[in-house]
Amino acid sequence: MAMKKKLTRNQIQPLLTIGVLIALCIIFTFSNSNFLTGQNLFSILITSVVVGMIAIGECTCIMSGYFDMSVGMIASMAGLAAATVMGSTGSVLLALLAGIAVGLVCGLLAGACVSYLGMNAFITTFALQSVYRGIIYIFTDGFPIPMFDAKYAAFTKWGQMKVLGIQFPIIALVLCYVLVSLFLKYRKLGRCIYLVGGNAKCAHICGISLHRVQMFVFLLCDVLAALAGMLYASRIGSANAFLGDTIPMEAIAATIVGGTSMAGGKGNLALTFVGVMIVFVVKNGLIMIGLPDFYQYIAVGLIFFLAVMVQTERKKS
Amino acid sequence: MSNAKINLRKGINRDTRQNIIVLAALIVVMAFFGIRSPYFLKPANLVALLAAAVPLGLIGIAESVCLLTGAFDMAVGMVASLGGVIVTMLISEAGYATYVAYAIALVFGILSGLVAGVSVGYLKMPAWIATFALMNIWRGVIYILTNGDAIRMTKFKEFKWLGQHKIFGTDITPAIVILILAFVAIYFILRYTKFGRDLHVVGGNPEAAKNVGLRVELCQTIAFTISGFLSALAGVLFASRSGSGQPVIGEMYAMQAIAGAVVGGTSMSGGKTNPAMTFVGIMFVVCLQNGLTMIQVPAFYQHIATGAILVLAILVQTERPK
Amino acid sequence: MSEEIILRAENIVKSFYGNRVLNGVEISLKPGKVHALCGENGAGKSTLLKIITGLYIKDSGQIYLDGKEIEVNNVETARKYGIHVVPQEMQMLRELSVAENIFLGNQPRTKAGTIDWKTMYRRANEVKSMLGKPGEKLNVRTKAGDLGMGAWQLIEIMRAFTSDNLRVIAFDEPTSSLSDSEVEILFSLIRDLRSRGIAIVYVSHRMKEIFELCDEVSIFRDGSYVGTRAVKDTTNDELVSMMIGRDVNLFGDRDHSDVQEEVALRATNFSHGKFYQDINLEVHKGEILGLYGLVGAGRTEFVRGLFGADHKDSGEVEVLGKKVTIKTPGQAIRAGIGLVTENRREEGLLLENSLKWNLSMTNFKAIMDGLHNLSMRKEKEYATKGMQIFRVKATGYDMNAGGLSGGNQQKVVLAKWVMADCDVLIVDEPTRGIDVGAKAEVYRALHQLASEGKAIIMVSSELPEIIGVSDRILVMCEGRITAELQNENLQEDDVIRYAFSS
Repeated sequence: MAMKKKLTRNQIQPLLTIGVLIALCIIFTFSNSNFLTGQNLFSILITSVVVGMIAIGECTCIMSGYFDMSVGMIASMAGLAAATVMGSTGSVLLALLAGIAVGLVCGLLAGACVSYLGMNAFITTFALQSVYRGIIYIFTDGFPIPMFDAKYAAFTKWGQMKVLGIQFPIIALVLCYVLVSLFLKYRKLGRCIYLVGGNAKCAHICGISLHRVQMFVFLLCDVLAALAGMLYASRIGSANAFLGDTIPMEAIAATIVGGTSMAGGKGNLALTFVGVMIVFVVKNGLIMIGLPDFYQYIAVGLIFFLAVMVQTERKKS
Repeated sequence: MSNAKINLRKGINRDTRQNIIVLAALIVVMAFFGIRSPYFLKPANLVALLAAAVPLGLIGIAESVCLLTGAFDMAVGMVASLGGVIVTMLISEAGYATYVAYAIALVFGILSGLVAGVSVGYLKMPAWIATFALMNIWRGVIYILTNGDAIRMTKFKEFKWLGQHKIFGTDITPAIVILILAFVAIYFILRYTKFGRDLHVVGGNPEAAKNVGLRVELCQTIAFTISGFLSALAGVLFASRSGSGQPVIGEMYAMQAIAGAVVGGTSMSGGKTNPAMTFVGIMFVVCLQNGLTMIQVPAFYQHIATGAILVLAILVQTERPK
Repeated sequence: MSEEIILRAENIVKSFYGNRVLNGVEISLKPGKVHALCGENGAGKSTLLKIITGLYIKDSGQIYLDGKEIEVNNVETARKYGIHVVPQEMQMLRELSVAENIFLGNQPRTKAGTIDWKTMYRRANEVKSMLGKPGEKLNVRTKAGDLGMGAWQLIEIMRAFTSDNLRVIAFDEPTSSLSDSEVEILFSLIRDLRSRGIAIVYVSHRMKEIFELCDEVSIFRDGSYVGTRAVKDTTNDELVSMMIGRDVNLFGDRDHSDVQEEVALRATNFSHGKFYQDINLEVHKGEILGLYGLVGAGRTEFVRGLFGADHKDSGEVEVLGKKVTIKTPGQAIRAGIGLVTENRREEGLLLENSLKWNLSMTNFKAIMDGLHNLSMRKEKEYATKGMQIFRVKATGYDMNAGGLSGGNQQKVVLAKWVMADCDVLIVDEPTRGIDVGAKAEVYRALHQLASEGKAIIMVSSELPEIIGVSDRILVMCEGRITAELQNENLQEDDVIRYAFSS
């Protein structure tokens, strides 16, 4: 009996998630005829790039049993670092490396705290977020670094160029989803992320290095956050000091809507992408209906809340 | 074998030592700022410090009650902000009587805490996620209500009484008295009521709690409800003192309050807290902030300082197996 | 028997995860008697104790107190009836005082309803004085976390003393974590309780304690009740023969012909604090080496240290004549060693993941293609093969491990290691909690592996299994190897006597 129920639950969940996305699209199409236009759909996609990118990292992080709350600030820091290096050296490569270095350092720090020092991942990264926020203030006073000057052109053209009519950040996003999905499915380390999240003790006994997996997920998460921050800066031609406090929540919400288990061990990037789309379709739809964008906070919070509630398994007493 | 003996002590009392260290740290921080800025240790500034500590102090107690049951409450900051926004809007825009507005804001806090408590206690959602989601929902509500702008309350004298009235001409305000009363009340509840002791058991050993027949779900729900009430109270008192409803004051509260509670020896895994030491921990955080401002360190270093304190406190508290 | 009976349980049945662990057992407790429950691991004695004290809920059966049927659904109700337990896993609140731990959930209160600390400390001191001499040095204001296990046990006993109508008190392996002097104190306390007309249930592995302390003893075997004896009328031999005696064919035939000359693994000088000291052993290719000992003898700790899963102070390992460094399980696996742990639900399996993933996780090399990518096709073949060799009953390799029965889960764990192609396989309590049919398959598999030249170290506290399966037996007691026995016509008492401290 129990076995049968579990199987159906596993099968129903993806259908349900996709169903919700389709239903949302239908609702918004009826409430505003401009919703289902190619232009609007691309605009949804392009605005989802930052969160979508970060959701990849957050998803792998959650699958291995951890959370990273500092991703939003890391994205901002990476964008600022890239812009600064671009401004002083004029080299896209160095700018890119600087941004990635930010991600690497942050990932190493968070990974070391969690893996080697055994600290609670959620509250530690939450505290680190505040540290990063302070660092950003120190360097920028809270002002963005504009990149409209010609010397930034080599950097900003990446975010603004189109390939086959599609904006490059969207292509980069899709590429990252495909690559990380393949990595998770076909590489040993990718598989180990699931195994450690599913049962760390068992994975340890079976010879899997927990430190290696834990360090890797935080590095991946934070480097992807850095890439997201740079793509955004490149696209809008300005490195923002604060990309928004809601990034971690939107990314985690999307991941959990996509069926990734909060307890670790289970998850799927394709569905995480569907989750990202749900979050951004709602955000876009609310604007199309004409509600101020503050309503998005409530909507995303509610989506998050509901997804967690649906996923939490309650013991029958 | 000389005679039969039972091992009675494993070592010297860890807590006493830890409390002394935290107190010493507070004194060192105060001495440091006292030397750097002669104004810092003046009685007037110390009272001002206390007045500044009112919202964070109340939220610190709120957080320590939740941590006692083994849960984080991330919503505290936004509940405080929204509490302040509600009270100021009701008075300035809807024309409510001051005390009715106060009551409504506090009821909002209780309801918010109830939602969080039911989610955690009865729906078994992870506490930090449920309250984190709630935090974002309230943030949205705040922006919808205020558009992100502060609500000015210059005209309403009665409203500012709690936060600004000088009792007997001293700098002590009713808000400070409320803070002290709240600490005493929570101390009393945690120490002298069955419910308070049950909270220790629920957080310290959930299985034992079930075995002795405690209603774990109810305990958690009430803990969060208390947290919501205290957070809203904090927001109301802040609004009264500043004479305005501030939409964004709460962003840092959750982290600062957790930092204060953890520095004060509250266990992050539940079952242990000490209101007096939580107060010391909160004062530590507040002094650091106030002192940094006073010696003209830019405000954003406070983010780094609070974050670093929290990371360090977690690091110290985390038990590492050999 | 004409004597008065306080508590009687009949026809008690209990199952876990579909495995029946109690099969209609009974027990009668009399005032002023210490009643021992005796049997091998898995015989059901602890489960029965937990059922009469409310820690577990029975599936069916009756419990009578003073001849009236009662329902004991939780510890709280059991206490109301005057039935108390000193559990093996003591539930202390480390941050609370001794006094408050004694009155947990039932603190004395003032008329106003607040906690009455003065009365609590006073009553705690009263209760403490009931302990007599052992309690003298105990300060009821000390935090429980600052005290040792011996003191915790006193707190558990004092919890029982707070009851107005203490009738029955049950001890579950109370001496397993105590020092000798603490055991003495406990015994004097139990004798004191006995003299006050309280019925005492005592579960222990240590025969010595039963003869020293108890008045009556009930024997259990494989979840069934075998019989009750008065301790003064019975002998060690009689108890042992009641505890064992089962179908020997279960283990298959074994003629030691697979044992080869070559040493597969040699462990020297293994020590870890108080857990085990100076362990040396070697196991040959094709040999099944039984490592016997009571729970707590240090067997599990030793094999985990050997495997690199837990810390060790010292110890060197040679595999097939080559010295290897083992600090992590990964190194052990690369050296050709596998470990089937005793707790399969916690460490053996990923219950929420597919059998396929569970099987391949020890041996990614086998399912990789030329580019070191995981090949889904190879993994499926690998999983199919793994499930075939152990005849795992499942709907397919995509099924979750959590959906299998205990026996089939254990087969998956074994298959995972067998497929990893290790030269030395360590199995810790390989048949714990699985039914007879699955046991036979596990034994068959172990024989099969030995005949293929693998060396096997089998840790077990079930004597028939050790004697039925092993070629050679090492006995451990209190962290040391106390005997090495060739398994030729060994009788159980030839082995068991080395397992008890003298």
